Amino acid sequence: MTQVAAVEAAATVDRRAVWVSYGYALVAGLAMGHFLLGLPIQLTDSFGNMLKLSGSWGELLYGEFTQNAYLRPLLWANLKLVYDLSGGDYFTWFRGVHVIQLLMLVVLYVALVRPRTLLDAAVVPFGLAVLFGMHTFAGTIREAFPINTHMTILILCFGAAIVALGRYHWWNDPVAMMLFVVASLTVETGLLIWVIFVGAALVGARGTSRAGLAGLLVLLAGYFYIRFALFDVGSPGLVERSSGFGFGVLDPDDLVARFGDNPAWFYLYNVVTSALSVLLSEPTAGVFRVTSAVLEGDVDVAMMLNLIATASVTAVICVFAWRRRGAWISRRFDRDDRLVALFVMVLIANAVISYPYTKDVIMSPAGAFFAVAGFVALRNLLHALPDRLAPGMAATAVAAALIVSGTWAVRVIGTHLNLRTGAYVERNEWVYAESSLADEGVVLTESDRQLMRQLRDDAIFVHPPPPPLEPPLRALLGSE
Amino acid sequence: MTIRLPVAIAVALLAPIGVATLGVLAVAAGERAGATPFAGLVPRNSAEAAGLGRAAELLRFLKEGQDPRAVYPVRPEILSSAILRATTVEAAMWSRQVEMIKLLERQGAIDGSEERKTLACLAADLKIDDVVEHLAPDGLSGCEPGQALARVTARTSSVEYTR
Repeated sequence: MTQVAAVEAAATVDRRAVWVSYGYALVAGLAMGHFLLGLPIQLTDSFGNMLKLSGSWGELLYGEFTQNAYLRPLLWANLKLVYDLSGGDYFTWFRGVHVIQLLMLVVLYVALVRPRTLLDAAVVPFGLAVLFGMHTFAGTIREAFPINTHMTILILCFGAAIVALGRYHWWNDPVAMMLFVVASLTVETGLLIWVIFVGAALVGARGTSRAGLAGLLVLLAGYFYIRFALFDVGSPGLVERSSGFGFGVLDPDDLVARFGDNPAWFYLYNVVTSALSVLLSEPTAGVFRVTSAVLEGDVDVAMMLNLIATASVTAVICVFAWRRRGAWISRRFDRDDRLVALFVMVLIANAVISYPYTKDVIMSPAGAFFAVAGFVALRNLLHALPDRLAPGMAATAVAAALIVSGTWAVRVIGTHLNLRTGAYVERNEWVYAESSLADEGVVLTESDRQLMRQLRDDAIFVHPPPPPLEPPLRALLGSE
Repeated sequence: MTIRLPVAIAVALLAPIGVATLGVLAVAAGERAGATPFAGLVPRNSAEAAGLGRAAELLRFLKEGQDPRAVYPVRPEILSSAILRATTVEAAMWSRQVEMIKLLERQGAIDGSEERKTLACLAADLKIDDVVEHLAPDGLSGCEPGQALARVTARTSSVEYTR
């Protein structure tokens, strides 16, 4: 960007819009943070991990580099760091980290979409509602291990997009490489950082230099060398876990029986349905629930609201792409074009990474960029609208906006209600922890038992359960 | 004065989500201030917690010193409009969770074979098979159908209902 253009762009930014947008994002984030603090550290997925964290750093990292199917050493390093820093105050630290992560995410969201006018600022709540209301987002807040790895990846992805689409500084290249290393060694979807930097460069962004992109390519090759040649970690097979298929969920044994000889079709199914789940909210986790309900004549309103909500944002993004097709064909991209293009690239890459099995939260990066692209498309559509239309058409347009916004409002409330339901479910698990672990034949040492008692007492007595919520239309609002 | 269409649509997009956000914010702020807006039934004693199947809250009441064998008032929407007083173990039957009964057992709330038998009869009256099986693994004996339930119900109309 030339100096003159930069000055012009800065001059068109209404500072009030920026402050209002960040302010709203923080308030919405803090409100959700309150619900996050209602969740205890989980028995399932967290207690076992925390037992593993009591070992030494060396043992932990060596074990993670040399295990089968998954290469996630920095996920464990992250957990171990907070575990050690907590000094035994696990609830405050682990739940606190989750809230801070959420606040970082909403701030990065606003930084990425850059609201410039008060009209833009009025769309920010809608954009954040799409971010919070997507079914792919639920797994980033409802659970923790005891840090939510998928939330970490969302933050790194938004951070990467900001660097990739921003102005070039000498430090951008090392930052890009650091983001890639941290993300890719945290969880497999971290490889999307590479897609974001390369994808942004392909649509004309110059946040990273050619040398930086070459460095990222070397790091990507290094990742595959470490994973497949050096440590022979491999990738998850059919036997790793259950996965949705068609109208139901298949257990690993069923998957092997059905696709063991040639899993290619199953992998293709996973890729296609993962992408569709972001664009339409159907299927979810590989299962065509709405279609099944329609066929059985058992459709409920909440299902249809989800479908309408997601499909309308997809439609707005399609309208944006159609209106900008001329510029795209002649390779003239502005920042909003690049954000939408990044969504498409992240969606495809994220779906490909999801090939071994389908799980909503794995598609959370694509879901987050869907919220970014939705905001951008909607803002452009608003700015392109005429000031006046025939009264009938204008009323129809306003009514459509109200309906779409209403569906997302329902989803956002549902997200909060499900967090509260989760708080109840997780605490109940702790009540029966001792007997359920004994039933499973889990043998605990005295120090393990001490940790269990501490976490149980934290969940039940020190941070007592918040009351379940029963607002009007409860059945419509919450899905859990 | 006429409103520009983009502004009208922006307001339409903002309104439902703004209301939802305000609602969530009000609940969060209310709870921080000690209120319970939009809360469902919040148990007031161990019997209510047991009746609602809220194991964590039940443990909290017991830790605070409530006696699981004492009779507590129970609001009509929790067990039945006909049962307004019950012990914690009796109320736990209405949760229909055998786990809840086992939990109370571990807390020392069920004392002796006679009490187990009485509770098994109550479970039989309420047709909770897994609880009957747990409390009377060798089979029920000496239960008059409907009598155990009638005893609990009678307490509601009785003047003396404490231990």
